Formats: sequence, structure tokens, C-alpha cells
Amino acid sequence: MAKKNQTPPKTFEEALNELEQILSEIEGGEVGLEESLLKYERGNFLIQHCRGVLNSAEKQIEVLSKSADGGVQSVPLNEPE
Amino acid sequence: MSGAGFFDFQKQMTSRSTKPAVGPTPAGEVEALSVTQLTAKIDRAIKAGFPGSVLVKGEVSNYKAHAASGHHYFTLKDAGAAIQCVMWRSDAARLKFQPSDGMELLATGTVSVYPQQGKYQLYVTMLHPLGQGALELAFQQLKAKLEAEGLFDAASKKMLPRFPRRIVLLTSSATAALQDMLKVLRRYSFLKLSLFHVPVQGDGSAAKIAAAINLLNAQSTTPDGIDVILLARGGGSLEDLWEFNEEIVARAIVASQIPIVTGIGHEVDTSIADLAADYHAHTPTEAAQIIVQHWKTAGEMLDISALRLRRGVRTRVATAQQRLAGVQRHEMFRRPLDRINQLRQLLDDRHRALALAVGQQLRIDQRRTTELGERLDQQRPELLVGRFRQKLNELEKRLAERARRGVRTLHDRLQRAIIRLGERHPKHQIRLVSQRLTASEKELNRAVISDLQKRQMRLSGFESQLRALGPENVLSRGYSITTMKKTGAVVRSHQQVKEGDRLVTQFAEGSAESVVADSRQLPLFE
Repeated sequence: MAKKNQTPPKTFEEALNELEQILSEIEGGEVGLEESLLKYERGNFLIQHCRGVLNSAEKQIEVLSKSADGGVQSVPLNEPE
Repeated sequence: MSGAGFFDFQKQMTSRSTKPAVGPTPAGEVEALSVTQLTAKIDRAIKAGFPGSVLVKGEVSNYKAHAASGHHYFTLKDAGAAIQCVMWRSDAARLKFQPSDGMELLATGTVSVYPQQGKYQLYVTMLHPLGQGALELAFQQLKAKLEAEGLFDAASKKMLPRFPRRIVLLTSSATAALQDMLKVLRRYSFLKLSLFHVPVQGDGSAAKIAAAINLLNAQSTTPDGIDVILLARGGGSLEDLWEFNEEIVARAIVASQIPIVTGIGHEVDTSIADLAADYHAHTPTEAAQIIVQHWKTAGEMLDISALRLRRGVRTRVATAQQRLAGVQRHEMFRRPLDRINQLRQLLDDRHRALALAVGQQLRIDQRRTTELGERLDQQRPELLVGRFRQKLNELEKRLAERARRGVRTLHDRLQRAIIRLGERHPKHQIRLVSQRLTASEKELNRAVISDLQKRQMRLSGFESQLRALGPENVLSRGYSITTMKKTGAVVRSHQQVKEGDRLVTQFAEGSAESVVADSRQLPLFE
């Protein structure tokens, strides 16, 4: 199955919503066979994408503060541990 | 004036009332006071009696904050008495709560006279609610006010994102609250956690918290938007948590576009900030847990989704196969070309009709174009001239022809007349007669000759006829002619002869003489 040309939704929530939509469409039998296969492919991609998100690890916690120009600046948190 | 003077005044009043019938003496042993002087004396007497501030308790009534001046005016009263109170604007601004009628208050202030209206008043510098703490009262009052404004309406609360990734912890970096939240949130390595440090206790903290919320909102337009803000603080006294009960914090929370979850104090504490928040947890830990509640089951949810997806597609494919089988039994698939041929025919028909229609129109157009072109062409000047010239030539020719023909006709008629005239000439008559004569002559000759010939022909006919009828011919066939020798008469009957007559019998060749012996008549043919 081709994974190319698949773009992940911006957020995890959107991905889950899309996934839920796909599931209800496939389970409801509303879509044609080819389309349901395409949606299956998309659904698999979304699941893989979401698993990827869950398995990803963020950097350190950052500390935000008001910068000199009135914006927000961030620096990594130095923890005592 | 001393305190004794005050009582002197009372003594004077009493003494006066005891002698009502006595009129004023013109010389006057007692000197008269002006109202101002009197009032000044009274004021001095009161101030002497109540040096410094007094503490008064009573029920508030007729409470008014003057809009223009900002000074507050009210009456403190109990069952037996009432006193007018004034609180200058600068003192009123320090009030945490809003005094209102019926409230039992403890007022700190000084008593003094208001000369213009001839009354004494309590000039209040500080008010405290009786029965409950001022902060508590302030809290209740702010809550009621903001509630009336609709700031705590459930309808205006923002939905918390189910799966927030970018989370800002708005708290003090030194507190246990931060560690509590991190303990929960660290289990989800994919969360993008930020700390925005704010003081959570002490004067001015409220303004800093509000400013931080506003700042984060201003920044959240960046692509890496903040999903949720956790505003948290550990437990403490009402005074410790007071900054979270400030109006400015509540308003910043309500105005925030980013959903805000609060976790302030202990289980029992509910702050104004909590009420204004989109969701309020009772502790920082609980706030963190609320935030990640959906993340906790996300993995499981994905497993279930994967299962549902596989099963759904399998079912879908099975349904399709079933339908395919059903369709294959259908006539259309047993004779698939029927429908196609039908459609093909229909297509051909349409195509033909279309071509016909188009062709017809095209032909009509072409014809018209050609026609118009030709007509136009014919109107060309050189053509017109040519045509006129041609016509002219034609007319010329016809004229010439007609002239020629006229001359010829006349000529012909002349000729004929000449001929006819010639025919009337006498020599012609003579020749004609002679000709006719010659013709008659020739005709006569011809007739004579022809008659002669005819006669000759008839003659030879007769001859042959005669020859056929002649005796020789008969004789040659065996007949003979018998004649009487004496007379030469031909004997035709036995009665002609008698015995002893001499007869000559002529044969085809030669003749013989005989004598009659018997002349009986015997039938020749019996």
C-alpha cells in the first residue's frame, strides 16, 4: 500500500476525528468499494501517524517569560534534580 | 476650648429654658454668639471629647457612592441612634468589599462637625464587615457581581481540547504545584510543556497573572499555538490565595482565547479564577490529570480503531463480493453485449441525426453563401458593363439579322415572282402541251404493249389448256376415238352403229379399221 501523498492532519485530534469519520463511513457501508479501500489506506496511515505522535518525545521543558520587546521568550528549564 | 466649656454650654442652655418669660435685656450681661462662633465652639467641644479615632459598630443604611467625587456617604445606626458617615475617595478605594445597606460594619474614623448643615459626622477611614472577614465578604461580592455580568456562564466556557500537545503551566517555578503537575504530565513524553513563571502570592501578583494570560494569548497566533493553559497554585489561606480572587484575573481568564484550566489551593477552595476558568480542578495534580485524560486512552483507542478499520473493510469487501455474485447472475452479465449494443446503436442513431442536422444546416448555409456570393459577383461593375455590351452586341446582331432577313425575303419573293412570271410565258405553254403530248404518247404505247402482252399471256394459257383438253393427250392415256368411216362422225353411242358399219379407231399412235359385230349396249362400268 502506497503511503506517499498522504498528509497528516495538523493535530492529533483532527487525525482522530478523520479516523472516526472513516470508520463510521466504512462501517456504515455508505462508500463504494474502491473508496472504502482508499479510506482503509488513509485510516491505516492515520493510525500509524497517531502512534508516531504517541511514541515521540519532546525536548526539555521550556521556560517562557516576557521578552524585552514585549513578546515571549523561551529558555530550557534547569531543573535541580 | 476645654471639655468643661462643652458642659458650660449645656448649663447655659438649661438656665435659658428655665426663664422663658424673661425678655432679652438691652444692655445684656451675656454677650451673643454668632452661629459660626457657636458651631466652632461645638466643633471644638466634640474634638476635645473624642480625640483621635473612634471605633463604631452599626448597620449601614442609605449607602451612596457619589459618582463625581468618588466619596462615599452613608448612615450607621442601631436601635437607638444614627450617625452620618463620610468616607473620602482615597479611603474608599482601599475597600476590598462593597458596603451596602443592612450590613453590620465596624467603622474606624473621627467625629467632627459639618458647619454648613449644623451636624456632626463620622469621617470613616476604614470599614470592616462584622461576622465574616472582609476578604470573604469581598469574595462574595465580586462573585455576585461577575456572576451577574455573566462571566461564569457555562455557555461562554471554551471546550478543552481532547488532545492538547502544547501546554503552558502558569504558576510559580518555586511551588510544589509545578512539581505536582510535572509528575503527571511527564508520563506523556510527546507533550510540549512550557513554564511561564508568575508570582502567585502577594500584592501585584494578580496583575502579573492577568498580564501573562494576555501575553500568551497574543503569542498564540503563531503556528505552534498553545492548546491549553494550566493556572495553578498550591494550598494556602484565603489571604494567600487572594490574588486569584481579583477581578483582573477573572477578566483575563474570560477574555483568553486559549482554554484555561485552574488548579488552585486545596479541595475546598474555590476562587474567582476557578469560577471564571473553562474548567476548574481542585488541585494542580487534578488539573494536570484532566488535561491528559484522553491521552491516557489514546493508544488503546488507536488499537480499537485499527481493529474496526480492518473489520469494516473486510465486511465491506464481503458485501461487495456478495453483490457481485448477485449481479453476475443477472441477465445483463449473461448477455453483456445486449446493453452495449443497444447503447452503441443509440449512439449511432444520435450521431447520424446530429450529422444530418449539422450537414443540412451546413449545406443551407453554403448554398446561401454561394448564392449571395454569386449575386454579389454579378453586380460587379465590369460584369454589368460586359453584360450591357453583350446585350448591345446581341441587339446589334439581331438588328442586322432582321435586316438581312428582310432583304432576303424580298429577294426571295422577287425571285418567285420572276419564276412565276416566267412560267406564264407562251413558250412554256407550248412546251408543256408538247410535254403532255409526249407523255400521252408514251402512255399509249405502254398501254398497247401491255395489252398485247396480256393477250399473249392469255393465249398461251389457252394453248396449254387446249393441249390438256385435246385428244392426243387423252389418247396417250389409252383412250381412242372411234369414228364412222363413212361420215367421220365420232361414235359416242352404240345406237349410232349397226352391224356391219365400218369404224375407224384412232389411237394415240396410228389408227385401225374395224367392223361392228354387235351393237348391244353394255354398261362400261358396272
